[in-house]
Amino acid sequence: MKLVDRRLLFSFILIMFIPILLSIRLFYLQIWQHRYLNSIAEEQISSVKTSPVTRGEIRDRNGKTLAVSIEVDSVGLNPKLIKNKDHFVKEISSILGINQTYLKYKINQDKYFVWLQRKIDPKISRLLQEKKEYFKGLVFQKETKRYYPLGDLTANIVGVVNIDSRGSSGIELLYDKELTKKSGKEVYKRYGKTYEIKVADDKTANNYFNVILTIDSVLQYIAQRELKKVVEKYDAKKGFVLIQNPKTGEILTCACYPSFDPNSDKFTIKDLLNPAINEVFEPGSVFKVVPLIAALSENILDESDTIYCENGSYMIADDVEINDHEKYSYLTLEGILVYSSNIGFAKLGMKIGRNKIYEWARRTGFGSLTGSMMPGEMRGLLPNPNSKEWSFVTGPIMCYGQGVAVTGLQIVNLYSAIANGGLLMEPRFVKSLTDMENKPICEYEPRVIRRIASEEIINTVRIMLEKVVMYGTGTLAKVEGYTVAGKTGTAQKLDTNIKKYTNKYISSFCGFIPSNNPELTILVVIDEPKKGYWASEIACPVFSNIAKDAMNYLEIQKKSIHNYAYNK
Amino acid sequence: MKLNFFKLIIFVLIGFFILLFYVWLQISSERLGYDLEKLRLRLKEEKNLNTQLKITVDSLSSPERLGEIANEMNLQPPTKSQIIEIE
Repeated sequence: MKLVDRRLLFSFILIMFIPILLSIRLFYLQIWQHRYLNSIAEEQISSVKTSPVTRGEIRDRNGKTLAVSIEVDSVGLNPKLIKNKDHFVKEISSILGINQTYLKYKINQDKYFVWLQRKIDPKISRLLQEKKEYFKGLVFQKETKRYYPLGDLTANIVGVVNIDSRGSSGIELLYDKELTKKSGKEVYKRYGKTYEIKVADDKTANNYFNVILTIDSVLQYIAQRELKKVVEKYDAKKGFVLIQNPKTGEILTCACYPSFDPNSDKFTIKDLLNPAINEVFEPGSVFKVVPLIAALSENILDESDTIYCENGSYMIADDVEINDHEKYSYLTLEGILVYSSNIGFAKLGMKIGRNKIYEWARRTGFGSLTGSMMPGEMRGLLPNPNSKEWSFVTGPIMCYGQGVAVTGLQIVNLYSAIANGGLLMEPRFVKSLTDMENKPICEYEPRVIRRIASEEIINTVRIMLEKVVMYGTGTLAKVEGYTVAGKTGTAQKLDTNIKKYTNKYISSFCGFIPSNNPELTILVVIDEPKKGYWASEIACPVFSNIAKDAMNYLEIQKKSIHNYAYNK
Repeated sequence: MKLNFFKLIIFVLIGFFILLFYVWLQISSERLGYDLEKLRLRLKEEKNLNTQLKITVDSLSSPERLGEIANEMNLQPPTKSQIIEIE
């Protein structure tokens, strides 16, 4: 070998010596010790976080958002990082609206983290984020908050969620499983102090659905507005309005007043109850259609047969007197409905008999759940004719709506059955479900529970109900340009403690419009009005006002009734 | 011998560049990871902002608010005589 070559080789080896040494070291660290060192590194740079519980949206039938979850910031602080404490307290207390003494107490704690305010307003959060450098020590953490853009308007039906974002009432509770995307584990890798990269998430965490309700928020507003007026005018305890599409059973409105603001925390468990579903009441005369259908179906009386109404007062037992609000002598079957004679219906009840009254009450949907599936729905109270609860007077008084307790939903569903020709429908609050990308998942079809009576008999009842509004007790329920059918109900309230009727009343009206081809069934119930009590003067005008605006909103007058959008 | 020596240097250099390329790939993928994560976070923030704006729109267009404004402006539903139907 030449000297030059030897020198070159020597220089090359000398130059390569350090890289070779480094390569050996690298081999040792990267390959030999790989598993051990990798586990140490993973431990240092990896972190597992729990993703917050997220929920789908609840929307009305027109796509208006009724409930939505958004990510908001919760703000805390590290007291040890704050230098100018007085300045910090002054500035932050004014932005967050926190008491300065409370903030001073928080800031002087010997901790590395204290909460200042949870789920703060996004505007305040943005303001604080902008000044983050200025206020060193502030810590932000993401959480989800449920918002109800329409506030108290749909609170009783949509419901609320608890602090863990799980449904507590209403639709939020009924569709809790479908609405909730449970929290899952997410693995992050940290590079430096600022950067984090999500490298894995929990594939088992489910996706959520959006729930589309049958409720129409505009109709809901119309009903709530009229309800508020009447409750305030008559100084009533509360009231509710139900509007149903009689052809499909869809509930378009379930308005309650007074309601509560679901965006605040200032409501009680009692506020969460929906009086139309979760509470029962003695219906009074709106129940009279049940014995009427029974009498006609069982061929007990014909519509032209007459009943002697005892000139307004009738002793049914030694200590039980039944009174009419007017003195009537002889009235036809139609007459006792149109003029709402309690005596007439009590006598009709005696002719029908206890078993048949019970059977027809059950057949028309009372004493059982409607099938709406709403949480806490009441069955009502329908005494068994073969039990001790049923006395001699139970049947007669039940025929004019006392001695029986029903829900508003049962009443509106029965009147819808009369409106649609005799089919008792399952009342529905939910129209469909969509996935996260708003693709339809399932559409709920109308379901018929049973036929309650023949079409001929139902048509007879419908004509009689039209006459109630034409010249009977429901004249104030008339709506210009439309035919209306319905029945008033003024029921005395029973004091369950002393088991006696009080001088408190429930005024109600249930009817459908247009009566020849009904599109809407509307129930108005006003509980304990103090400045009057007759349904004809309290509930009927509310029905009329709601029906008039609803017809205008739905453009039924302008378009052909048969092309009405809800029947598509 | 001379040829073999240059071959060795070329092989070492090629190996070096392959290693350099591998390191560059790793760094690029990490950088893309950061960018992707930043975009993911931005998307999340934008979606959240979108939801907040949607809430604002829904609150502003709520029937209750519109009803109040209509009342203030004395707006009423049209009477029958005020409606002209266009054939």
